Amino acid sequence: MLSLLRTFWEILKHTFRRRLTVQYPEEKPYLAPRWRGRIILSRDPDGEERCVACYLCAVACPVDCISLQATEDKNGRRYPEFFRINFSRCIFCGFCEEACPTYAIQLTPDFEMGEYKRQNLVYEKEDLLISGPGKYPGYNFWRVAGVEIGGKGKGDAEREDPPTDVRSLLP
Amino acid sequence: MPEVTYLDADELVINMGPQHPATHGVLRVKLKLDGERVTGSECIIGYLHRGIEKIAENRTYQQFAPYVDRMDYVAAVTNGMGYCEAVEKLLGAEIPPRAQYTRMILAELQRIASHLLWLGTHALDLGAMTPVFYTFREREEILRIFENYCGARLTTHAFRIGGLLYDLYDGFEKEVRKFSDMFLGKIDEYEQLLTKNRIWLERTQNVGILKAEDAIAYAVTGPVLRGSGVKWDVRKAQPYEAYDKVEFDVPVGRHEGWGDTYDRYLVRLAEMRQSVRIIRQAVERLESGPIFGKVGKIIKPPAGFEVYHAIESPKGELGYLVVSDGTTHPYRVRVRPPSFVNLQAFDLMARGHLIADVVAIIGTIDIVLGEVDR
Repeated sequence: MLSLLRTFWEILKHTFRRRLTVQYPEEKPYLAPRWRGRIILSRDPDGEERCVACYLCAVACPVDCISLQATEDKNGRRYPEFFRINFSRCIFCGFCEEACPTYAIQLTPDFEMGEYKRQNLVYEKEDLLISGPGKYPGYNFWRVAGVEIGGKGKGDAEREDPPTDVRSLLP
Repeated sequence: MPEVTYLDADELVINMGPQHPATHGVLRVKLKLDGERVTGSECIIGYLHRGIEKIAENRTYQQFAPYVDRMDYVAAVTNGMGYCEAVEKLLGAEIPPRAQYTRMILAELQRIASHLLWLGTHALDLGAMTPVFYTFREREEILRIFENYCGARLTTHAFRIGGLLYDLYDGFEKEVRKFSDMFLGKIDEYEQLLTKNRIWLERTQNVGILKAEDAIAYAVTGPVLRGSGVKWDVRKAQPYEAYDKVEFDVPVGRHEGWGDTYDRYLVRLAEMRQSVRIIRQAVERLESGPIFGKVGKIIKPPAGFEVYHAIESPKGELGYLVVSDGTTHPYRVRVRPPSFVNLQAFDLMARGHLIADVVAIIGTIDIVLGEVDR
């Protein structure tokens, strides 16, 4: 009998404690900055797509949910012709973000992706692309890469010396 | 238990599960009944089989790591730790101390979280509704630490082969210290609710008795084995990470040579206290330094090697056998899941008990069907 009263007393004490329930749809929970949620494609500070369609994310993906097709614009800049993520397969492991050499693909703190139709979980490039740089503001792959594209010749990149003239005899 | 016929009734076979809430997932138990009494049982598993071991053969070593989180989905961190360590053993890679202690802290937090989930649901099965609310409250704190550390709560995929991907976030140590200080008082709260409660004693004492020699014969590990009075813990017997550098005790049940459901309950509560002890020591020894060992981006172990590595998961000995064939894919991955092996002893424990006790016995083994079926 005493043991039961002790149990009741413990529960009675708890009725006066602060409530911990989060009233979810009205009150949003705090999500960590590292949260692995909905995947986005970001743009560099100039507003151009960061993705260079290198296929590393598609190769790293354990469930093969990313598909894309590379193409080039008239400046010689690579970009994906289409970029498709099937979120009904995605397990949000973050391998694509780890593999990405240009910080283009990023995982964001958002989990509210419920859909009534499975087909709606297939996100195309226009659904994935955001207008900002995401987690890495200021990074511009084409400006630091030594690759020549229209409007940026050899040696024009940041921290890059102009190319050496190998035919010149002078040191 | 002797085979006694009660009330001269005919034998009746009923199915418990796969949808019964007390079977913790999709376990189907075929019970042979004599009135209310169980005279025999058979566990039918496989409802959650996903062929994870076969999937491993078609994935690279790194790509398989998120899959192991989905076996024991209430203790994903320890699953991932076991797999990463097995592959590191295959590669002969050394892990820096900071990564080791971080892994230990997270694994022990995961052990607490898993035991809390077990305690809540086990008590709920036996009719005590309150503990589940209290245990989930503390489990939430742990999941929040995981969430801040690696961005996921359940299928964490926190470690990488060779070390860690993420370094600890600012305030991690403070949060973990705060949790470990707060948590010991909370265990006392659960004990206040259950340990001496008459109803709890009636439902758990002398229910599901497992003798030590039977437990060893059935290769039972983890708290079920220790509840039977056998002092065996992989962390002590074959230390991995830095478990040989921290002090902790291995709790055992009250009796010499046998144990019941109540013993296993006490062992798990004591284990949570020991986990807090380990966490406190590990947080003290965290020092700055590298978090990733000398492991390349492409993992290609030499051909023809096989490695068995076991860790102490919250449920028992979790072992991985990884066989390499010189490519980036494992030739074979075999998992020794503790739940699957422990479930074998179910029939032994259930015989002679009432149907209501079957619920207690399923709960006390602490099975996760994702791990049993894989």
